Amino acid sequence: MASKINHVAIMSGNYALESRFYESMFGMRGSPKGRLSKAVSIGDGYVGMNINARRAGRPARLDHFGIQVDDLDATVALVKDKYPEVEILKRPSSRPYVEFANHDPDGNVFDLSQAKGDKLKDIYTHNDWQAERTISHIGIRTLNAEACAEFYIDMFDLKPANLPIENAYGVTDGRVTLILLPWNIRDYAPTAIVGPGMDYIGFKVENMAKFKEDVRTIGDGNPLLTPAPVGLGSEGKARLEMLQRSSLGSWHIADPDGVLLDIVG
Amino acid sequence: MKAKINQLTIVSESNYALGRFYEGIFHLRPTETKSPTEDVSIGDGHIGLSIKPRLSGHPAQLDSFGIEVDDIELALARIRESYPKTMFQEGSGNGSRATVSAHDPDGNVFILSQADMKARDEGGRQKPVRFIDHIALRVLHPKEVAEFYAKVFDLAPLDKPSQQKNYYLSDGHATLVIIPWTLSDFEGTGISARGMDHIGFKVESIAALKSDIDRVAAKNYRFQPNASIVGKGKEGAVRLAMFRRTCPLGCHHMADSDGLLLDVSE
Repeated sequence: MASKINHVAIMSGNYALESRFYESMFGMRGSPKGRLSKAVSIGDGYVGMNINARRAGRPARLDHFGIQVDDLDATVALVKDKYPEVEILKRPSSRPYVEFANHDPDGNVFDLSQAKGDKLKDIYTHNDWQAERTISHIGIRTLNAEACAEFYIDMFDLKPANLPIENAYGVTDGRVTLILLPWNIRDYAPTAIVGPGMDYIGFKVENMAKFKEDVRTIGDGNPLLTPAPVGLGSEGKARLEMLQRSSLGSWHIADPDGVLLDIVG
Repeated sequence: MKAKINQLTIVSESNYALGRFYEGIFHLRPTETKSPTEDVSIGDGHIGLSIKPRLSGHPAQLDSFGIEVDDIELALARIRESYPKTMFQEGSGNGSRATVSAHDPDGNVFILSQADMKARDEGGRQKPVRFIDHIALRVLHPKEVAEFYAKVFDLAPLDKPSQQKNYYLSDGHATLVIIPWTLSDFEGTGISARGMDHIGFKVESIAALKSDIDRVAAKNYRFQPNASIVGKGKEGAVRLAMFRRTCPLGCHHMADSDGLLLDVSE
């Protein structure tokens, strides 16, 4: 079975600004067929990023990711057979890219879609160009990282990835890697505790020095697009060090909402 | 063991404005004198509400809660014995104010603190007219989570209708509502991750509350509850119906100015 990690979603009270940030800093593009009154859908040529307007009852956060499969019916049948305790839910027709919602054994939610299905709209119909800056990995902190990794390997045929991160489990589609990190409250000893869930987005850039220069120039030109601070104060420093220990990149920033970004040169 | 739910924490992109919302609408009051640049600390006289600014790496959400106990060592011993996978993180307090961060079997974070329960035992404190009467969690393993809070903290299970899948645990004042988190509950609407779901308030009169909301919003619409999106639109209507169905304690459903769900009863 061919699967690809093709989607990441942020819930934001500043969704239009967030979109401008990712478009400006990473060259992500929207769709000419995008629906202005709906969530922003932008892409890097492979992964589509939805930035959804925060609504009542929803936290503002890095929210979920998505997997696209070549045989949705077979995948759903396999999940129901092997993991009867996890739910699969048909999504409303208003979603332009997803047919089902699913969750792993720890309750991490992800979207499930059919490759080349007629449900695909917006950026998901033509997200196939070569970009210089791309989403390369997604970090998730979860209670049972190993069990979740087995789930993604068994159900979606994602491949194990060797990672230079202690205790982390990687599963990859060959281009994008899910990094499953054991969530341990003790990791947050010197900083504010964040519960289990999606933690950061990883980007690969063509040239770190050029990217840093772009970040500086763009922020100077429009302060609203400046990354949110990471590493301020003793708690911020501890949080940054924790991120550095559990990610792949050499530079760590945050989008204007504070969603953590791990930049690989 | 005597235990009480004594604190709630919200992480907000507008923490000072959100504090004003709860002061203006629910009459919560500052609990300690702090520098204006510190976190917002307000309360109803029984449960404190801490509203922290969103910093990088932290979602803006209803974040965690606190439990105060008369014997923190006993609580920790119970966790160690029955829940060896649960980890602790020692806080900065010491002696009678020691605090420990911990989590339940589903990873919901709570702050455990040692307190002198005498003030509560005296029973002389008058209830405010508007106060927090329940907090709700949606969890993957409700039975196990409910057993955890009952076993470790002696929170008392409350009776419930036989068809109800929720668990209700009381400290004698506030109720911890454990709601099963299932994807099917979100059919037709956006899916919220498992975790803290809403705050329940009891007020002297829903009509009086609504009147206060109108009065405050007329002066500054930024303090308007997020009513415009609770129940509006097709998906909003589904979410509101799901809110009502899965937590039947309240009779008026709204959201604060950040969008956190509030379940209000008289």
